[in-house]
Amino acid sequence: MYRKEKSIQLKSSSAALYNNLSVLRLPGRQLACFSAVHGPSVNVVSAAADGLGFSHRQLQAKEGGMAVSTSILTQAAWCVLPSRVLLVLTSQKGIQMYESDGSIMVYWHALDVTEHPPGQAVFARGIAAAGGRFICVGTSSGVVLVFDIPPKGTNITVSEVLEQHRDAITDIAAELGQAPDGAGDLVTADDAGTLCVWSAGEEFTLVSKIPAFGCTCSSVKLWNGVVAAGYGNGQIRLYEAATGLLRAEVNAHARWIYALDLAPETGKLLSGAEDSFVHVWKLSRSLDTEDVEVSLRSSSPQRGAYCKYTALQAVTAPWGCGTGAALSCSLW
Amino acid sequence: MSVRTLPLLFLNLGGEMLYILDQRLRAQSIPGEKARKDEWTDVDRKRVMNDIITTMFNKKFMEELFKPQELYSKKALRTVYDRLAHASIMRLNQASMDKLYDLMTMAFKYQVLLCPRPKDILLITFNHLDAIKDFIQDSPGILNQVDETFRQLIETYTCLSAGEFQLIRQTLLIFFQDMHIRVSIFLKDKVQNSNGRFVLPISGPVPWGTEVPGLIRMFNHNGDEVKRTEFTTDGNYVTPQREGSFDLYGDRVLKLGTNMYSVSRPVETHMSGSSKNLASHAKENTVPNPLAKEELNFLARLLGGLETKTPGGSETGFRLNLFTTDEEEEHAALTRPEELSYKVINIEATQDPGRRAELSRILGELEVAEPRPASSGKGEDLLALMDGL
Repeated sequence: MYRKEKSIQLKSSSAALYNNLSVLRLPGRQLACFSAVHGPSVNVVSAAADGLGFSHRQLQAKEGGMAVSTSILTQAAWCVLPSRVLLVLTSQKGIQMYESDGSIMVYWHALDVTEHPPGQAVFARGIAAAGGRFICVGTSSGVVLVFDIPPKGTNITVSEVLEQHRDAITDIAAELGQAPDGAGDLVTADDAGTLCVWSAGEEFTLVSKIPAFGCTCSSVKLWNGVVAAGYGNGQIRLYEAATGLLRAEVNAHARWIYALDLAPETGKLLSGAEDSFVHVWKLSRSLDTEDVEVSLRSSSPQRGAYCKYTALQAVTAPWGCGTGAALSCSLW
Repeated sequence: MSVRTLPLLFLNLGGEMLYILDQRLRAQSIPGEKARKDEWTDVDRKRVMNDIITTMFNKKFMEELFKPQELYSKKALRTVYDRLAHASIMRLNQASMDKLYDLMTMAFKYQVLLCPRPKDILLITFNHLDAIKDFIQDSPGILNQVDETFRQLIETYTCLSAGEFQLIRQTLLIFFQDMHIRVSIFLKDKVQNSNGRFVLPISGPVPWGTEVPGLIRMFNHNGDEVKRTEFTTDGNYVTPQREGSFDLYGDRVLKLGTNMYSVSRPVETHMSGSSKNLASHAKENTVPNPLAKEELNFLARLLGGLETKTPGGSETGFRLNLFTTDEEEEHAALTRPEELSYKVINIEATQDPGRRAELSRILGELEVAEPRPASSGKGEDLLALMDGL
């Protein structure tokens, strides 16, 4: 079902922000890398598969020039494209993209402050690779920027600006499994709780728009045409991506959900929230009715010692038997 | 990140400061007739509370506070509270001031962390303001100022969305990140562990607007509910009774932000000591001048509204001790771990007679009713002063 691996201690605590943990599996090298943001820097840990070797690094995000930034990072995520892997950082100033080991910055995009009304916070948040060629990043104005990434080099350009959201973007997720026809490749979520499902390409097209019901959607995942969304009132909702239909509603947590993740081969969904609980859910689809089933498989609170999980990632273990392995990061 | 965080940070920390000072002043007070010249009486206590609250809610100061802006640095904020605590006849030694600030910040951090809904931060603020109004209920003039601020809070914040409140909360949590000072009241009540981390309860009422966890509902393609299952977890949650009031007056329901100190529950802290966690906390900032110009204007307005109560030549200072004995206070000063030092800028430390005269002019006798407006010239003078340090 799931196996909790050895705990990895980061060098410093992680910020209390949504989706603040990214994992990169490097199967060829039997390594996994983890990153979490804290203030103006990113903690990166590389762990060997046998769980014996760890190497820590802390990246100070540079902004544009050589000066070390003092703006707060909102998220760090690895984006895996067919030809390359980039580490993308979002902050109050803009978006930075590095080679996957964080050694070289390949692109820097400054946010246009004038786009935002005065009195509103300005930041980028929400990162995902889509369509085998693009990296999508959200902003506090609700705009989603689509970057066209060449197979190598620094000639990255903004290929499109998606303007369906009116509130700050919280999370973006790409299809993790096999989407049925017309179900879209990408889902974007915002502070109001509105979700948009997109089909990626030269021009992104809107497949469906799921209206808000009064709660922030802080974390979202897309798997086999099913949108899994975590909300501020502790609910998880499952929607059909192609139509936007609600298929399941789970009163999952007693507090704001901070992170979701999904193991695509087994359909295990993890949720972590401010109530300090981590739940593992099993998702499945009935072949004839296409109804979505969800049940709780496991749950564990972390009491006392650590305040909460703000992000988790379920990762399929390529050297294991295909079951999802859950890792949790104690933070804060 | 959120540019609307500063008023909430300032007012809540100020509220906690007043709770602590009130408790210590009561603990150290002597009945009027019996008091010596250097001992506290009830009259003195009320005077100190009035003076600090008057300064805190100064009109120009509040105007500056409510402008959309990023949070100040920890150093700048600490300096502001230093000045605030000395807005009256009361004097605090460095060790007592450090302890006061530790308690204030850990208490508010606790409240922010345990806040059920992000919007409840406003209820916590209202709890503090309700208590402040109680402290000055005999002074209608100051009461008016506080009500004015109350109204401004309602105007600014009640229309914000849950997402925006959460951003404010996240901004506050980032500000308080890595602070793990142990507070004995929290340790006794088992809301804080011996490693300084707070305990998140997994029982009690869920936030307003959240359902008790346990129900799964599944729907078919027509939107009809076709299946319903339940699950249990270790948590033991219940539905809340009612929502707190966001009006000028009302039952806030939430207990966070109310006064947890009393004469029988004294304030104490334990220094967490040098630990591995502290070694890795990020540098505050790399700018050589720790107080940027905007922060100095803020400070200048605070000083501009200050009615000085510096004791005359014949009066001895009225010193408040946050510790139980003078020896304890001295010992705390000597043993405070380096990494927990606040490195407060002491702006009175100037040798230049010309500049000292300028500062004296600012600190000179001012009418509280008509505070001398802080001109930009004053801000410039202070800036020059800082450059000279």
